[in-house]
Amino acid sequence: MKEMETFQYYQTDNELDLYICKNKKFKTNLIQMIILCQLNEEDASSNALIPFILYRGSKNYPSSRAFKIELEELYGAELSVSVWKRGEIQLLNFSLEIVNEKYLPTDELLLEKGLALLKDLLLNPLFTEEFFQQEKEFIIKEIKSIINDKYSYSLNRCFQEMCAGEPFSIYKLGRIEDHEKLSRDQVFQQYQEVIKNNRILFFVIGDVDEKRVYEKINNSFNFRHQVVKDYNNTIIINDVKGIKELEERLNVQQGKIVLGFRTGITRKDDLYYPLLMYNGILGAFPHSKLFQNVREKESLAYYASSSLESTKGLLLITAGIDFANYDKTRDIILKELEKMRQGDFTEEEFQWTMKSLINSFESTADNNRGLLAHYLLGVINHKTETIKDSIDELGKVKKEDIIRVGEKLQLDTIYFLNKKVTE
Amino acid sequence: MQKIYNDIIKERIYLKKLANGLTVMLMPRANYNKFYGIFATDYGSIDNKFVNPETNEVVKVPDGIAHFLEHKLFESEEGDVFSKFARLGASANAFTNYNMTAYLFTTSSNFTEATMSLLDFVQDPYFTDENVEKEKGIIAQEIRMYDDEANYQVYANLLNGLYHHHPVKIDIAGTVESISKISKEDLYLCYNTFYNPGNMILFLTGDFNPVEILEKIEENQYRKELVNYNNIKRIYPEEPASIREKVIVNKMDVSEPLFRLGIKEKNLPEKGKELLKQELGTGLLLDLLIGKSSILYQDLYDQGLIDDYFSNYYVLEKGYGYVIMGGKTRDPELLYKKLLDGFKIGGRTLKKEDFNRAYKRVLGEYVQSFNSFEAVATEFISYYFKDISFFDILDIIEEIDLDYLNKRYVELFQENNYVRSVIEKI
Repeated sequence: MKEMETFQYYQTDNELDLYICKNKKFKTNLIQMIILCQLNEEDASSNALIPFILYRGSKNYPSSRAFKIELEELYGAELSVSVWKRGEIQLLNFSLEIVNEKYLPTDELLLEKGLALLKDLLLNPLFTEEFFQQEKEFIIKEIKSIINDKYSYSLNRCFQEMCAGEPFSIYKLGRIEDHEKLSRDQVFQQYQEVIKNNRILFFVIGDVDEKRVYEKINNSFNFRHQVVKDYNNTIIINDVKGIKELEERLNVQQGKIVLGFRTGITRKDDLYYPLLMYNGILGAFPHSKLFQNVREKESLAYYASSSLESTKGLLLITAGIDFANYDKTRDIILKELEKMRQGDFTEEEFQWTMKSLINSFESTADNNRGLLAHYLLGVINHKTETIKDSIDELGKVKKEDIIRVGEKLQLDTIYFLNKKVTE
Repeated sequence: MQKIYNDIIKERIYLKKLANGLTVMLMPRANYNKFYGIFATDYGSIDNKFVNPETNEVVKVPDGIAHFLEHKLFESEEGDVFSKFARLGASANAFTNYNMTAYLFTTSSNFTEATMSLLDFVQDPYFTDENVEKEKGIIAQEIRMYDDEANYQVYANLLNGLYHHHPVKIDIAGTVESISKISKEDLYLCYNTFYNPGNMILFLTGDFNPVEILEKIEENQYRKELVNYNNIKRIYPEEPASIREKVIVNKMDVSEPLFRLGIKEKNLPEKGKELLKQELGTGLLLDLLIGKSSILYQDLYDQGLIDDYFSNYYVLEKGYGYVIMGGKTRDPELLYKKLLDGFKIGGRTLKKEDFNRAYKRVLGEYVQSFNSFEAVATEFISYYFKDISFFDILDIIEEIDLDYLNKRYVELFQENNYVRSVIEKI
């Protein structure tokens, strides 16, 4: 195996956390700045608006168009802002990817110019009433538009019902009714607050000079900042009181069944790698039980798979099926889960899954955003790991550990997206 | 073996056409863990009418068959192909589009074995009445999934409005009804016609020795007795230059209307450099008119008519081409009117400085695409099928100037070429 990518940690004088991964294989430099916020009802909506309002204009770039012009001048640098949710953490992302000038007919220091733009966006925003009003309208429309994609919609609805009353049920962009009540000043105040007190991460991945990048960020992002707020208070629930089964009807051609489980296992737990193996044998790959039994044997679905939320400790199974096959599909899925609980899987299934997971970790190391996502999950769960650490941990998993995962797993909610009955 | 080095990208590609007709492209990449292999045939959903090479008769096959065939090649006499890759720690997949069908793997170990498995499963079809029947339920659910995807439907409807007869208007997967008619004989006919080595490319990339892997590939290929039909005859219907329908409106469960504007291309270069020049030039023209840094884009955004997901692109293939742009909007008709007005103003005043900036963006995005094995491989293959090398892009783009964009604007941006597709809220 080749030498695997590692991140070097630096802290700036004003407590920004900087992780640099120096690496020759990428033709671009990726810089991602992430503000970590606790996900809660009071702040979720105003937090979510912040990145979008900042991207509307700053002192040196007074409009979105001014930003876009400068980005094109930097050979089509890509700046995107987004909001993520991992466990009960809301992450405000500012991601900038710039081609390394080594591969361009120019001597311009593109990375430095990119950092200057990012700094202006973050620290010198115009934050006008007009920008606020427009972005509020857009974000409300964006929240409503989840329904346009029935796959994401069904997953989101299952999470929402399953975790009703927990912060996790809040959508990453907040709630429409809260947005409607917000004022520009409230959001601006929230912006000042998170910039000053929240944990802020910087990731840099590319063929860079680490020392210079550190100094550049330390010198130019030298605003008043001190971490006083904790960001990860995710509540992990282990025990489930009764299975919720619910159905919703829309104008659709395909039914979508989603089963939500509590694993009680997060990234930092000893059972995390056994859980990855469990999920792999059950439903992450084409050789997995769900694909083989729901799709290949019974022709019930095109997709049938399972996935993990490893900060909140959830597992989700989903399949797109004919409306009439709901009971049949659910029963097959439950039968496969029972097999998992009893350790009824072969040495081959175990080995194939192990190899497939290693392949997927090693491939992740070849993708700058994948690499970042992997390391970020470790950071926010207080257990930083390189790709190599993950592969080593995975190699220690035994069959008994996977059975223990099966014993902990509890079905919480079954959601079914059904068609509307025509009168 | 031919070697081509690109001194901007600083990468090298090795090319060889084997004695059996198969084209092999190898792109070694230092420092990477991952290997990626893709084996593609110049055969997509639009190739639904052709001359049967054995009988010389013209045949029309059921819609969706190229995609159906892609699913069925994953079946072998010994069982399913996915498990062969899983055993190697590799993961396999495939896709079918309008113009090509491709089979691929990624792996971080057993690269040679994975490459051989890829060649072997694609070159060893195993269709039975039973396994063909079994697939119909699975693909029916794939089609239903797309039926519910509003963003796909608004696009499919647009193509249906642009074209009278060209098969690009037909869904790649066909319909539940059309696939129900597919038999194993149909599949063998399509397979035998289009899956011969002369119609295919193998592209490999990762940290490997090109000479060693080429040896293994030749050994593998020369062991097999593969029939080569040198003269595949595809038959496409006569397509009028005019559009079929101006406006297509449909209703679905969406939050607000989805809008696409399409412009039908009448100027269709056969292949090669002319085609690439037109593709790149029209892309630049779109950037100037409605790209993210255009005045029109900012105006429409400020008026709340488009959001940050509004996008545009240009497609140019052998025999068809179109511009497509759109997103979600509060008012499709107002947006349409404003776009039309905006093009008129923008088209009259294409500026050199905007052109230079758009050029820089294209250059940067081209370099960036080399971060992705998947993107590079797919680009090299699809351009090769059009007689173009993906490495030539930087040379061709030098031939494009503002005059060329002005000429393209006049040819393309004519209201009678426009089609709009709208999905309204139920």
